[in-house]
Parts: sequence; C-alpha cells; structure tokens
Amino acid sequence: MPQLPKLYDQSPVLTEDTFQCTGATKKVVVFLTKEALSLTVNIPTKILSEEFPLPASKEEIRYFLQSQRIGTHFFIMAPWDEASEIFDICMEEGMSESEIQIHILGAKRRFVYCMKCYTRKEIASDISHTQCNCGAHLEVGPYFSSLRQGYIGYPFHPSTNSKGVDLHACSGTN
Amino acid sequence: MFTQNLDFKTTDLDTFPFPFQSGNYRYSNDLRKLENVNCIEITPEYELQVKAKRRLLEEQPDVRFQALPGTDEFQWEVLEMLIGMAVERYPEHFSLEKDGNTWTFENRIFNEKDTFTFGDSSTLAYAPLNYIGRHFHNDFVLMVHRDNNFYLEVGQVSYAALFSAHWNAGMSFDEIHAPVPFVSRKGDHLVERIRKFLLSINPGEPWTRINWNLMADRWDVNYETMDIWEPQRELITPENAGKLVHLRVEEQKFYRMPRSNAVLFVLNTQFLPLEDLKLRQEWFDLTYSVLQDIPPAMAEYKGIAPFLPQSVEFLKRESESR
Repeated sequence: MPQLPKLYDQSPVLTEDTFQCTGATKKVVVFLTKEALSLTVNIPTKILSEEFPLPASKEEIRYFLQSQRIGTHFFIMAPWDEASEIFDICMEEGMSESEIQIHILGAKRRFVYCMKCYTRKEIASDISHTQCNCGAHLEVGPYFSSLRQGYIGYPFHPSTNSKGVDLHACSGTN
Repeated sequence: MFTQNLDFKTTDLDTFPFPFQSGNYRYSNDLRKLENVNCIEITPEYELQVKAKRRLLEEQPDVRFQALPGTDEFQWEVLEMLIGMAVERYPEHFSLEKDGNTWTFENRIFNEKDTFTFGDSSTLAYAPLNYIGRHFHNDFVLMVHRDNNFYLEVGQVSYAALFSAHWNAGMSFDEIHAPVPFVSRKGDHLVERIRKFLLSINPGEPWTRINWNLMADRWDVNYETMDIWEPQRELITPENAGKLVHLRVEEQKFYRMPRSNAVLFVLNTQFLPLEDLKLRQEWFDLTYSVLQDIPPAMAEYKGIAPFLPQSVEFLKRESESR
C-alpha cells in the first residue's frame, strides 16, 4: 500500500491567497468553518461551486467526497488540525494534491522527526536546532517524510556542532 | 554490541569492483547492461559480512529493515528470484526442495535449513525479503513503480552511506535524491535522467552502475549515528589514513521484477583500505588522481570533505616514496 501524502507547513497545497482555478476545474467545493464564513472566496462565475460547512464527521466528509465527479476541486479553509484531517480523507479517497488547495486559519504546525529515537516533536517554524526529549541534539533538515510526518532531525554532537558535514546534502547514496 | 569499526576488507582483489576508469571522476548516467545477471556472489568475506549484517538486523531491526504494508507478495517474488540465483550459481552451498508450495531452503555454509509455505509469510520468522536477505551479504531495496516514479516500499540496508531505510521508506525516487545537486553538461538534472532510464528497464535485462565513497573507519554512515561518526572523521591524519580510510565501492544492480513491475536494487558493498591500493599500481594511480581532483561540492555531498585532504596527503607521500 503506497504512502499517501501528508499535510506539512511547506506543502504545495497550501495557499495564502484565494482559490486558484485551473483549466481542469469544473466545480469547486469549499470546505469552510464558521470562522471562514466572513472571508471572500473569488471563484469565477462560470465555475460551479458548493459550500460544505464544518465541522463534520469523517464519515460525512468521506461520503460527500465519494459522490463528487472528476473535475471537482476542493478548497479547504480551516484551522490546521481540521484541514489536515480533511486532507487525509481526500488522499484516502483517491484525490490528488493538484485537486486540493488549503488556506489555513491561524497557525501552521511543524514537526521534527528525531533520527535517534524515532519520535516526533513539534517545533516553531523559525528554528533550525532543537533538543529531542531523548536528549539528542538535532539539526532540522529541509526534507519532509509523509510516513514519519516530520522534517528530518539530524543528530549532532553538541561539542562539534554540525560543521564539517553538509546536512542539507545528506539524503542519498550516490 | 556491534562495533562500527571497519574490521574487514576485500581480500580477493579480482572480485573488488574498482570504480574508476580514468583519473578524473564526474557524475554521469553511467548505467550499463549487466553481463552476469546472477547477483549472488560468495566472496572470501561472505561469512563475516553476513554475520555482521545479521547482527545489525537483530540489534537495530527498525533501522535496518522497513516494509510498507501490502508488500508481502512483492517480497515473495524477490525471495523466489534470489533463491533461484543462489541454487543455480552455487549448488554446492544452496539447495531448494519443492513439495507443492512447501519449500525447503538450505544454506550449507551456515548449516541452516528452513521449511516454509511459499506465499504464506506466517511460516517465516521474518518478512520474506528480510528472511532471504539474511543469507546474502548484499543490501536490497525494492522500489515500487507507480505514477511514472518509483517508491521505496521495502528495504534491508546494512551498509548505509548517508542513507536510512527507516527515513527513506515510502519516499519516491525523486524525494530520496532531492539533495543531489548535479546536472549534466546539457543542464539536465541527473536524478531525473536516471529515474527515466530506470523506468525503461525490462524484466530479464538488469542494469548496473558503480557508486563509490570513502569511509573513515566505519562500516556505514547513516543518519541515526551522525552524532558519532561526524566527529570521528576529524581523527583521520595522513599518518593513519592508509589503514583507516577505505575506498567504499557499491556495485548497484537493478532488476525489473516481472510480476510486481517493481525494480529491485541489489547493492554489493566492498571495502579496500587506501594502503591496499598499492597491491594494484594502476588502481593506486587512478584513485590518487581522482581524489586530488574532487570538486569541493562533490566532497561535501559525499560527506568526505573533513578527511579528504588527509587521504590525498597519504597517497601523495606513498607516491613520492616509490
């Protein structure tokens, strides 16, 4: 079973702006919470659109997605956790990332995956180093794993720091 | 506990896949057709390497083996291929008896005999690829073909070079190689070219290429132990480089699996200390020439920048003392 994409803070589905139509867009479904009701979504008049109010149960969302036709794109306006959950359901139902755009209400969340103890820790968006709960000092790399649901955390020895190795280059065997 | 110090080397130089054809090395799409399609090889270091690999798999199971759910059928196909190759090439060491789906595989080098039901993973002590991989010194990575790309869904990796089966599981070929910064003279990105080439590989026509690196007295360098091996590299001097620095060569073989359509990467990793290069003067001269010409970006990418100058200095002194 393939690993499905996960939402992360640099995901290509995230948008700061309003929904962008593509040539393949036949219809837009806007998932939106009460907080998003006051926001404007610019959708060309020739494109069919429909609102799906949140909150809703996973089953309701899944059932709704299963009834949508090809060419339907999804614009999700919700806080991180809710948007992430809807994104997961979309992936499980066979939608692709190119059919989804997400506008996060509030803060995005970011995690580092410790390569020493294989656990995940939430971090602020602007930090490059952290210490894991296991004690390992980690440099936060630029690569994200959907399976591990975090950015790679390279362990380094605190007395030597990480100079001498280009951590950003460390993800291949060639 | 497994020691990561590199305590073995290739002794049969005729089996060492020396990587350099000229004294100037640059990245290229250097894939070529594999002449001997049988990837099973019993070298003088077979027992030592397999025992070390099994120890790593026992001590660090989550680090050394990864398989995504739903890949058992793909793994059985690999098991069938590897057993077939082993029995064909080394009937004195390996045998297989079939009674319907009941298979009995024997490895006489380790005096081991296992009976299992082909296709039923519950009859094995490990996942199928994790089981059969323990009989050979190679690393095995199964890349599943989907949406014009390959995804790492099974991996048994005991000789990592800036790699981690645990981290890279589930990733596409492009994601795994995202940091590769090299482009061809025409401006094409090397990884994209290689991926496209791998997409064209047909069953029964495996391809190969040779990858190389230097190791500073380490069996492997994975992300999990970066805090340990990174400072160790600073301990290399021109005086100890001959013994401690090894030319690490990874012979990569790529097989399109006919049933799953996945591509199996079989990796044969061998080591030769720099001082042993003198046993073949041509190898010594080529390696010396290549290493003193490595661009800084390539040295950084390969993770050898902190001890490359000391290694070159060792080779220089040896060259001058001839």
